[in-house]
Amino acid sequence: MATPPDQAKPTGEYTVAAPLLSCAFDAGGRFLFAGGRDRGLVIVDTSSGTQSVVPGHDSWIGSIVRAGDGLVLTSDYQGRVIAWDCRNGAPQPRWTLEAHPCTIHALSVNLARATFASADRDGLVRVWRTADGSPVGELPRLEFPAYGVALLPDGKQLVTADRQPQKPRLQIHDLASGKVLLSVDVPELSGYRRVEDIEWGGIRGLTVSPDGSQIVACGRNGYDGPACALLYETGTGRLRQKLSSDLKGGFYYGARFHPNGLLLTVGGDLGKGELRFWNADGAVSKGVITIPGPATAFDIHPDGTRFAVASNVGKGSYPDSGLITLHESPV
Amino acid sequence: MKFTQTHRSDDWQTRRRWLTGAVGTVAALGAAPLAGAAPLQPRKQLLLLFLSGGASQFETWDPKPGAKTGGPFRAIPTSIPGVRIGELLPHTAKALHRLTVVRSVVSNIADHFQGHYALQSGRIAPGYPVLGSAVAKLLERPDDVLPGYVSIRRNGPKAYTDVGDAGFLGAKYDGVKVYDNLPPQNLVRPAGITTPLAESVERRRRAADARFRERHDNRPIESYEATYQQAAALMKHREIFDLAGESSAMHDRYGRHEFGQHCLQARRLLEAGVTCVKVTHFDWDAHQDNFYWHQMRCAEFDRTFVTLLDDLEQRGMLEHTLVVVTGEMGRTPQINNLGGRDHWGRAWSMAMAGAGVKPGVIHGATNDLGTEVTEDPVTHGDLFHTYLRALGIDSRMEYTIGDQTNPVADPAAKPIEALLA
Repeated sequence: MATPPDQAKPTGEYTVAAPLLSCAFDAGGRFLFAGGRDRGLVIVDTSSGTQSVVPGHDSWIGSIVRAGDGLVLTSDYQGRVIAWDCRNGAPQPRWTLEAHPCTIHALSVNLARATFASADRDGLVRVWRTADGSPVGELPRLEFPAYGVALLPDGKQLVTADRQPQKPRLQIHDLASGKVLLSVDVPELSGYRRVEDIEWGGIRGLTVSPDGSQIVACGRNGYDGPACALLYETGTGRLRQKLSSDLKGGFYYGARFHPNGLLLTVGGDLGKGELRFWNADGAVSKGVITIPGPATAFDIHPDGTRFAVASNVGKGSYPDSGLITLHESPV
Repeated sequence: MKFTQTHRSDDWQTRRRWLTGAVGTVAALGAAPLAGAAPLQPRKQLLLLFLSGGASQFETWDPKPGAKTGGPFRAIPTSIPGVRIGELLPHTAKALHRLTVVRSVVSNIADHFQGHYALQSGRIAPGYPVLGSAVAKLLERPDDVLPGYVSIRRNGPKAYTDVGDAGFLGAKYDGVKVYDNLPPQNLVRPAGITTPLAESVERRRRAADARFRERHDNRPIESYEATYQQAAALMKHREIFDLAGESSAMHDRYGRHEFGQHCLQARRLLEAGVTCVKVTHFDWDAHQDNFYWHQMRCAEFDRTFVTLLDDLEQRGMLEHTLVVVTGEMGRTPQINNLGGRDHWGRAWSMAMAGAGVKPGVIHGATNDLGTEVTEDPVTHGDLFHTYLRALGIDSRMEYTIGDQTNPVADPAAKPIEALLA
């Protein structure tokens, strides 16, 4: 590591009017997109430091992913996906798709296949062509809301994270047949508290390793926590590692594999967030960057040298604004 | 008396005549100058659908799309022109012209225990009967056989669900609890107890009661006697709890989930003559992941609620049954760090339908952020008065218990006249 993560300072900060849920760089790394509990899409031009809020969505922007062909995809809680073309200066919408009749909880891109998947609150998972938003296919509806989706690199399979009561579930689907190839219950990421008699938790982030051999499910371990991520073998569904934060409350909201092999996780609670670095198998924490609030999303710059972290700021337990921090990579 | 498991018109007429007791007859004749020309009026009944934990007004009756507090969901048009409700209630939206919605409840209670009690008793001060008990008492008829109040709920551990009881009215008017749609326990006489033995025990019990009455205050033994009689009636008519008597299609219409089946049971009990039924719908206390929980809970509530209204209407019951939809509180305009909404009593919503209330009325309003009531504030005491009035009860009446009198409703509150038919 060039700089210990604990000593890394933000190289840029951008305050956003609404709490944030998602962020991603464009393929060139110049523009950073961020969205959250607002209809406005935040676009930061990192070369000039300017920030703009652009319309297009009619609800919260829950998921943002970098796609191929210079596109960034943004999705909202009313089922709309917009493809933003970043090849010619300021990003412009290339196409807009009413992809689902309800909340889209997650998007996933397969760069090699030029496809993306979307998953909604009614358990519907659809696959589309990135270039024009035309449909490729649709899985049989899941029994429960789909909170996460991840296309595997081979383009033949797809992982979903659903909200099965008390046992949120990872499932691997065969895209050609729609069949469920593997189903893994993840009760560790569900919690119950007697006072409310209501289940807390769920899988809040889902990612697969670049080679497709590992699946990471993020959330919180039980009611009391801590924030944690669970690392599974794709082929067998075997739990290989449990990655726990030092933070007692909050969730892990996302995880990514860095090109250098490290695994990164983000999460936290109001007033305390983190971006943590783990070795490749998640067994050892290699360091942590402290974030002022819960980090709900992050992205690795396409050149691997920087990170953007979206987090939230507020009083008590109520976030009222968002914060984007840029960091030079300490790894 | 005949209890039917399936609806047939001849049985229905029989049951309606049975439901029309002496009080109803007198009231009907008294209201009609041409004695005998007016049809017999069925008794008023109450169905309370209690959204335990506190439903969010933003995701149901009073959406604020686009507001910072509004959450991610849309507002959708309803059957009342110009009125929108949350997109999670599409079936209810089509039936809104049949409902009375209050968007201006100011209970100022943000505690489950206090809220459960206050929203059901219309008061803060302890010791008063909850709505089901009060109505069971106030609409009681001498020939009533079944309990006046039955409460149906999941057999879950939530402590605050059972807050409130018959208070000073005594055990006779406490709700008979039905858990998980199972009949109350011990409705079948044990095999070893023969009829002669049971009759002998009954004679001894009555004799003991009589001796007790001669020497002591009668009220406890009268409550005991009433409870015993209710239990005996339930043993005799235990088939009213048997949902197997309902068609598969009816089960599907109501929904096979817990709330759907509980509402189907509620309709059966009302049809059998129980005056008040309360159904508790759980899991609205969405401190975390409010939008997930409201999606799930509203999906259950929405279809079942409209099915229930349709079914009551088709059976001719809605005109004499007041259906109340409320919880113990609303939920905060602010959305917390876990995507939840917390407890909120300053500006929230509830709904009614059926007997005694005007359909198609949207009463009161909140500001653009939903943080304050801006028109026609309504308290839990006002609602309690309104329920009673809708059921044909003078809410200025007083209970007389022994030497003491107590107003049936908080004298500091008043009925909401704009809502009463």
